[in-house]
Parts: sequence; C-alpha cells; structure tokens
Amino acid sequence: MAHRLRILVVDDGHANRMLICRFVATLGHDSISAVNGAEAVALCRDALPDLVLMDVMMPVMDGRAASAEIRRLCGERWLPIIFLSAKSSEAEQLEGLAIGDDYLPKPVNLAMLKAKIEVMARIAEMQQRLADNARRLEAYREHNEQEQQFTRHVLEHIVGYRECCTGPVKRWIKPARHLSGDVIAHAYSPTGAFHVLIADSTGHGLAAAISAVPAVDTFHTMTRRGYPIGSIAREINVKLRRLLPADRFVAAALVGVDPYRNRISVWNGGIPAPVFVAGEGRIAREWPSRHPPLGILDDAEFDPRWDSWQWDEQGEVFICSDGLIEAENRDGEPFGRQRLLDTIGAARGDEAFAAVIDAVTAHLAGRDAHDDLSLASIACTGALYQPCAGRDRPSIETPQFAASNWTLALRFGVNEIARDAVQPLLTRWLNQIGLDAAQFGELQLIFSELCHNAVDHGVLGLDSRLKREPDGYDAYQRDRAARLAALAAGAIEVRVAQIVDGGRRRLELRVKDSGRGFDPAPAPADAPADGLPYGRGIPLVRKLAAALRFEANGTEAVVDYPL
Amino acid sequence: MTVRLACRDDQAVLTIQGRFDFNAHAEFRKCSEAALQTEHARRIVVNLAQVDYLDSSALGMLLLLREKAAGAGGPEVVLDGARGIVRQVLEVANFSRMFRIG
Repeated sequence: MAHRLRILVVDDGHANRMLICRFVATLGHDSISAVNGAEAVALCRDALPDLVLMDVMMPVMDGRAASAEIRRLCGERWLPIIFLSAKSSEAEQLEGLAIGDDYLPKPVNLAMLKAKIEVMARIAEMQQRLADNARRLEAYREHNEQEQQFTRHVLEHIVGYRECCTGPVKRWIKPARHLSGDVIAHAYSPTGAFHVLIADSTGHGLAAAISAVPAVDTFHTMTRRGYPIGSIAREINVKLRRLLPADRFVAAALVGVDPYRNRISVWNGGIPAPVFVAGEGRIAREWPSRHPPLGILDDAEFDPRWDSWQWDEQGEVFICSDGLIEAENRDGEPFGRQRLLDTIGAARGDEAFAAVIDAVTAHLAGRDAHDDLSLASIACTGALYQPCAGRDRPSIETPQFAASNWTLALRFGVNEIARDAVQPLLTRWLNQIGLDAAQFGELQLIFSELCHNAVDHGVLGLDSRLKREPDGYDAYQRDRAARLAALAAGAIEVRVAQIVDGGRRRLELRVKDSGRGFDPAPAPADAPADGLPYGRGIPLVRKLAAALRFEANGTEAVVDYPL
Repeated sequence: MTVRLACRDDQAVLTIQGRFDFNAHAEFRKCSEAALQTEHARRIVVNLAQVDYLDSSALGMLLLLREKAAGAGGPEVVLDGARGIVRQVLEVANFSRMFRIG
C-alpha cells in the first residue's frame, strides 16, 4: 500500500482493541484507539483519522451515535467507517450500512479486514484526488473570473465604451460572454466629419475582444488625423494581417458622415448591409458588403474604394452585426433582416433604435444568443455638429507668433496625393499655428474643399458633372480611384501666410495644383441650387471666408480668412 | 456534423454535413491535413451542399486551409455547392475574392 493511513480503532473490549491495533501496525498503518463512542468523537474533534474501525455496542456512546457525530465533524470530507459487530443478522448489517461504509462480523476475520482496509484506502485516495481537483478547478475559476473582469475593464477603456462624447451615435452591444468581440467606435475628423466603426471579430470572448483592439486604435488615430475611411480600412487591414493568425479576421464597416455636404461614405467588409432610413421608415439606401473582412488580404490585393452617397432628406443610418440578424428564438428561427427592417419601418422617428432592441430581446425571450449582438445608429440631420471640446488644442500661443508676418509653404507630390494624405499632413501643420478650436475647424473645412478640388479637378482632371448622372457618385468614385492608382505626375502647393495690418490679423491661404486649370469666370453663374448632388464645396468656402478668388488660369485658389 | 474525405483523380473532396462551426474544428483539421497530403491533388474541393449553417470560425478554418494549400505550393481550394444562408455568409464575407466558388 502506497499510503500510510491513520486508523482509529474503537472498541470497549481491551483484547479485541489491542489485537486490531497490532494488526493495523503489521499492515504498515498507524493506529489510535478509543474505548467508547464519546472518546472516539473527542479524538476526531482534535484531528480526523483516515479510517475508523467502529464497534457497535459500547457503553457511554454506542457506535452508531458516534458515527453520526463523526460524520457531522467531517463536513464535506468523506471519512470511511467500517462497523465491527457481533450482531450479524441481515437486518443489523443493513442498519449498520445506513451510517457506516462497510460491515464486518465479529470475531474479526483478519484477512477480510485487511482486504476491506485496502478497498477503503483506495476509495479514500480517489475521493481525495477528486476533492483536490475540485478545489483546483474552483481556484482556477476564481482566478479566471478576476482576470476576465480586469481584461474587460482595460478593453472597455481602450475601445472607449465610456467616453464622454456621444454625438449623433446611439449604440447597443450585448456580448455572448463576458467580453464582446463586437465593437462600435466613433470619432470626429478635423473637418468636423464623423466616423463610425462597427467591427465583429471571429468568435467571441477574450480572443475576439483582443482582435478588435488594433482596429479601434488605428481607427481613432487616423480619423483624428483626417484620413478618409478607405485609407483607415487599408491601415487596419495591414495591422490585423500582421498581428492575427490566418483563421482570425475582423468583419468591419466604416461609415463617414459629412454633415456639411450631406454625404455618407461607407466601406463595408463583411458586415450586413447598413441602411439609410428616411422619413416614414423608407429605406433610401443600402450598402452591401463589397469587400472581404479585414486581416485577410495582402495589402497589394486590398481594395480601399468606398461608396459615397448624398442624402436629400434627413434620416438615420442603422448598422448591426450578423449576431443580431442570426439571433435565434426558442424554435431556432433567426431574428432575420426582414424583421429588423420591419421594426425600424414601424417605429416613429426617434424610437426606432429602442424598438429594435426591444424586438430582439423579445425574440430571444431570455435565451442567450450564440454570438455577440450589436446595433448602432447615426442621425444624419445635416446640422453642424459641435466637435468635442478639448480635442485639438493650439500648441503655440506666443504673442510674438501672433504678431508676426510669416509664411508656411508646403509641397505635396504623387506619393502624398495617391495616398489621400494631403489633408491629414496639412492638419498636423495647422495644429501648430495657434488657432482656436472654431478657427481650426473652419480652416480644416476650407482646406478640405480646396485640396479636394485641386486633386480631383486639377491633378486628376475629373469632371464633377459626372455626378449629375444617376449613380453618378459611384461612377465618379470609381473613376477617381482608377486615376489615383495610375497617377504618375502631379503636385499640390499650399501656402499659408499671416498678414498683420494695423493690428488686425488675417490669413491668406493659397492652394495651387499642377493641372491645366479652368476658366473660373462662369463659376458663380453655374453655382448649383441647394439639393443638387455636386458643387457644394465652393459656396461653402465662400460662406466661411472673407474672399475667394482664382489665379494663375484657375490653377490657384486664394482665400482671405480674417482671424 | 461530419467531415468526409474522398479522393478521385486529381481532386480531394471534403464533404461537410450539418452545422459547420467551431465544434467542427478538430475533425475539419484532421481531414483537411489528409487532403493536403493527398498526392497529385491539384484541387481541394470543399463540398458545402449539405451544410445548413456556417459561422465565422468556419470561415477561419477555410482561410487556414487556403493558406496551408498555398504554402504547400499547392492545390487550389474550391468552395462548392453552398446554398441558402451558407451562400449568403460567403457573399457577405466576399469570399469569392479568395476562393473559386462553384
């Protein structure tokens, strides 16, 4: 026997007690003894033995009463008790087994006693192993629970569930486990446009939640620097492709809302089609997934093109993960896209978002979903959003700087133009020239328009009248992406000059392109009425600036902006 | 859920039945490794005709198979016979960019 046991021998007969104790010793075990039940209980109170050999009939306290008492002392632990008794009728044996674990008639057959001790020792050892395992499992469970809570706390802060700025976005996430692999993030670009990311990582729980972190981080950084959604999607794809194993990826939709031009841009890789819901629940537009999820394709294969669309009636964009559409009720029937659209259509204005949550919750009827569920909506009202306070603080505020005449000149080549990086790079310079938040936002808008015109119509030679055609925006964007990819030569020059004149400051902004130019004269007469899907940029600049004129045969736009 | 492998001529055909999700992981890996080791196989066909549900971890397994096949200098992976919700999932994920879909 591998294990040396501590065996309690209880018998009021001295000879019998001594015999069994000596026999136990010859088997290699230790023995302690008691002369009646009460003494046995007292010994057990000090320290529990591994096994008890218990006489039944004893003075003071008999074997059965003592056994019941010892069982109470044991609590959850199992302590084998073998009854030794001169009474050996079937009824008496059965009565003994009701409390004890085995029964041996007196006079004791020593060979039989040896065998029974061995059996009990084996069982006791097994019980011990089980109890140890259960304890280890419980410790592991607790440890795991703590780590999950910690991880959840950190991840929620990284992906910004608790950030202060809410803006026009509503969001709802119901994780299948502690941690969600679905993420909804939003951020303002320097031009006041609004970006939303909805991401659904493979699987759920910790692995999925971690996969989403690089995506969210890149989304926030690049949006703040003014990159367009296609460039952001590309960068996230590169990161995830490098970081994740081959069988993990992140389905994602990036939505950009430009409230100044009533324009929505969508890059969708693997998310159920977001919808634009106009008045009375009418679906005005859908954006089906046109790309594989992020983290799968090599950068060379990646397609950053997005769909762009202009709304002519206020509305709300709804986006959800496939978990919501696939959420099953008791009968295994999925919630389904049709039910989603019907629910949105039937609700009045503001209530659609809550109505969808109620409908899915009712559909699940208390059951857990297999996958994370998430829903986001973005109000597209066309009102000027207030960018977050404290977003981009001017970094230079010296009086000398404000009182000087200075000029900043930047030249962007094919590399920057082809990567749509002109505006983001410009933003980082503008951050340095001591503007307040409102001026910064307005300058961003002005430069955004002028650079956009310089690239599209100057360098790329695109004709914005293309947008008049039905589906013209898509055709325009396709044409733009093709020309950008094939671009071999071209440049944009930006000059910002501060002019201090009689104590008044103004900025002169110049954006010059390498294109062939145009005749700017008919532009005012051709200015579009509100509601047309093109040509909003120049009127917007005229509204924000004191003056706008074109020089150098229409290749250079000059703006006066009083400070 | 079951996965079966059959080889004929220059094709290794993996036939999957039932729900194709995370629980299929061990069996799919075993069969796809056997398929990759099939000599002369110029094409691995994943037959999805009898699959009635497929989730993102199944998509992950298919991507892994494609990568291993490419690494082995090897066979083209074809997804065949998808219907209903399974075809929709492949479409939303634009898997036609990475696989030939029969």
